[in-house]
Amino acid sequence: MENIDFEKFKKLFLQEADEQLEIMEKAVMQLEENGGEREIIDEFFRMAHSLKGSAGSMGYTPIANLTHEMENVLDKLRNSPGILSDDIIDLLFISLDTLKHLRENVEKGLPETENPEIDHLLQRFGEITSKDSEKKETDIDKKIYLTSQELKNLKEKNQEKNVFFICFELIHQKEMQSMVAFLVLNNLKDEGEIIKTYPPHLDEVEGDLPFFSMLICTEKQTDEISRVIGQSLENEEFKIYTLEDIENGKSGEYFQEVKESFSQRGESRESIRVDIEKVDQLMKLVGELVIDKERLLEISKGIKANSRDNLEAQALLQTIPHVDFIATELHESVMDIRMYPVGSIFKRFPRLVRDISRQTGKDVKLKFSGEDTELDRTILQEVFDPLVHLVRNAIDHGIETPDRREKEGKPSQGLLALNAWQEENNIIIEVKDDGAGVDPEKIKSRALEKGLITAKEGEEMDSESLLELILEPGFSTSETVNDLSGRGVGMDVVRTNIEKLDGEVEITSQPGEGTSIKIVLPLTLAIVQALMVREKGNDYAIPLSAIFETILVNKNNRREVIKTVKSREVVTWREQVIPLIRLGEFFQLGNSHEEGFLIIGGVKGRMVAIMVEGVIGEQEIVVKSLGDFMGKDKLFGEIPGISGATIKGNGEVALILDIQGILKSFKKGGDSVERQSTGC
Amino acid sequence: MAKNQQIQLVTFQLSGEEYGVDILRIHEIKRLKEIGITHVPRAPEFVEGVINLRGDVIPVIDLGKRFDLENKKVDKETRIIVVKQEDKFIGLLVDRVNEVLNVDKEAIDEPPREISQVNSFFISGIARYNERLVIVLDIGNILSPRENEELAKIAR
Amino acid sequence: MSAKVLVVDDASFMRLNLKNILESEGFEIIGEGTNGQEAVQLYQAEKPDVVTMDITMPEMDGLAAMEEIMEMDPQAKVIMVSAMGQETYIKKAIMSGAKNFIVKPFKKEKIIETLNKVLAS
Repeated sequence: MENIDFEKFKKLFLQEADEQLEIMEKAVMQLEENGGEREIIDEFFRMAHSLKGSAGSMGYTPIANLTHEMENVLDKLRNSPGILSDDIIDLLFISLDTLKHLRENVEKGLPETENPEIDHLLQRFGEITSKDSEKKETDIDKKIYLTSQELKNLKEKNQEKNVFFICFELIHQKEMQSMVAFLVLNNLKDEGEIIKTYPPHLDEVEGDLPFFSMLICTEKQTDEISRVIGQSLENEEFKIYTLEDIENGKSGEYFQEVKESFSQRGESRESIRVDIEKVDQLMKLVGELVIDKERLLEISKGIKANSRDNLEAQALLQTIPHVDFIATELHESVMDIRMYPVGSIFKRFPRLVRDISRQTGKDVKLKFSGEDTELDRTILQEVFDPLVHLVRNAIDHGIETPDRREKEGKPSQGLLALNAWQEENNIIIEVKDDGAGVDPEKIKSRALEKGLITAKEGEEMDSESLLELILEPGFSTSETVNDLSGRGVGMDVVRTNIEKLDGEVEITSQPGEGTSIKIVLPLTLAIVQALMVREKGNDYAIPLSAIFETILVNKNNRREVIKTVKSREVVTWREQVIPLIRLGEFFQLGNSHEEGFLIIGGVKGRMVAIMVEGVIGEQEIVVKSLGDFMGKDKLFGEIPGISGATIKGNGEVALILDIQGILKSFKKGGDSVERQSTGC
Repeated sequence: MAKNQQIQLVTFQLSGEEYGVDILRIHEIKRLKEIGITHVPRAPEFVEGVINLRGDVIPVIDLGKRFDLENKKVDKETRIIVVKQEDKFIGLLVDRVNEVLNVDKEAIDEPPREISQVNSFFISGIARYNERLVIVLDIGNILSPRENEELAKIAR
Repeated sequence: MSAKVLVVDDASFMRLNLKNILESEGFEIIGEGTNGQEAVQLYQAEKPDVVTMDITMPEMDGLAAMEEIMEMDPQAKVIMVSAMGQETYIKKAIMSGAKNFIVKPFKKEKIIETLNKVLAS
């Protein structure tokens, strides 16, 4: 009996320990990043304390001892955050590693042995806690996160000017609150110098931000500042404090109070778990609704022309736009359920970066932006491994050792940034470093060596296309990468994985300055805006995101618009010469026509003009695959130039053009669309 | 004594020959006139196009072209038989649907080796029904990606 | 005198919606643009007091249009109308001189308040 109970408790202990360790790890990383913020230290302290308690009662003495010392240090930090040093951070990290190790031993049932490492750790902790705290800060200062030194400097420097601490509370505006902050910040910048903001880097924050504050140094008076703020805020609360208020603690009290009230509100938000299949089913139904909605819109066009006097018809015409609106809203809401912030995978990286840096002897600072950017859950899960790969590569082969960097005149600490943002219908995740970069010439010689390109091709390729060779399978193996001082390990795998998600990988690099690798992913907008075009009796949809302009070609302007260069037809658009593809010829549908529309489209800066007979109009389409039989690695193979299908209002299928695919197969099989000059 | 096991064959006409498919494989039969087939450019020649099957896009293949038979013009008898294999649907364009036959399993012979018109790969047997001979198609093989290479040969 | 508003959006429903709201509050709609280029032309021709500008539009997007308008008339008052998730665009717009922004879908009161604020500034 006793044994069973013990096992049960042990299991519980292990579970709890995992959670506690995870939170502590997060906390120590935050401490490293943001310094000794009170809440973080408090949380850290609580976790260490509960782990100590449970370890003690289970009889796991080493864990209890170690956490006890951690507790002491944290307590000290709590009272004087100023003593936080790299040493302490390091010590905390090592302690966590040791705790994890000890936890493993508990799980495996290994006996506790003498561990000199722990003794050493305990000793180091002892040294720190016995030291007298050197700096002391007043409570007031801490509340607005100004050190006493900062406050003193402010007062000395700005005797002529006013220093205001302004707190904002957004009650009415619920969407894109960070943009309100950005707007206010931008307007206030004209009035004085923004010294500090909460949250830090206010101009980079995105998403919800019900509360924020700024410290501004200005020549203006309160009422003027108030007026400027009022111009961009509607009915929202803000309070302006002077430097005296700060010293009296008034601002601090308010700040704390508001902040607490918001964190409580956040916690009380309710949520339920839903089976992902149900969400998919819902999504499918919404898709059907959108198809019917488009049908209604089409029908309503007919009614408009026919029956102006029919009251019922008029009522219908008024209802349909509303249905349109609701369907679109409904679609967005359902999409939203599937969305997850990119930050949820970003947060797994600090630890990884720390570990790889240590192994490789690099000093790397990791920065994030756009953590709130949302992406479809399933895509997000698939992106993690490629990202790990890219991050590993960036540290291993991109960022130089501190010595080397100093020789090159760079700061010894390398910078690695994980950025995410939305661009049109894509989400972009970027891994960017300020390391050695990749030399296109070295890639060229490597590719020649590997037989991936011929010498002639090598001459013709620009540095962009050369960089892309890294993504080719067989470009590099682990031994070739190091002497390249570049990338390559499994980069083709990264590309393959991203392409499976309908995404793309883009590389830019400046030798000596660094490398940026962007993963461009679809938002999985199962419903997109598209332009419907017609060619030889068939309708095709082109996603609007790939279209720049539509140009009418008729007898009068034909010769001006379409030119022939080296027996290939081209179009000059905004001073660019871009290839012309006649859709009918590309699809082998028969003779071409001399009049019609040019769809100027492009992906990744590569442009193409596609000539079609007619343009039907814009509409929302539900993106569907071509089924189980057509596509890459499927029974009937890939269909060049087609990325999927959609259902039209009349129930028939229309194919979706793939601009990128057309560009690709145009490049490859240029002959099939090459056309003799018509000479007319 | 157990009754002879029977299967139900839906039979159809293709270039003068009678073919059959196990009824359990058939999802539905549609008139060509009822639905618009969307041509898919640069697809294999035997792919007639794609249709909308209750919101899903599925391909329709022309069995005549695939088997290299003489092609009959599309007319009001032309049908699309939608067959199902492991959750995948495909439409088969046939000249005419005949009837449903109950055939004893014993009355289905192995396909003869030197079968002339249709590649033996797609054929699971020859059913004898009174005086008629019905070629029984193996839908699994038509739809199985494992046999990709075999198909590629035929596609050529 | 009622304020003159130029409404720019590629979706006719949105234009109609804005028009209904604004006219009911006594604003005068002096033009409706369906893309960025039209917006720039209409601005030049009509010199509105304020512009509501959608961001994602064909031909020329709202950001580019706003920038051209600001170049023509540095005093121009442009309010960006944005869908959720377009933070990057809004930031750019604010930095290039957009006076405020509205998030779709919007409430009538929000629109009116924002317009009045911007007009008063």
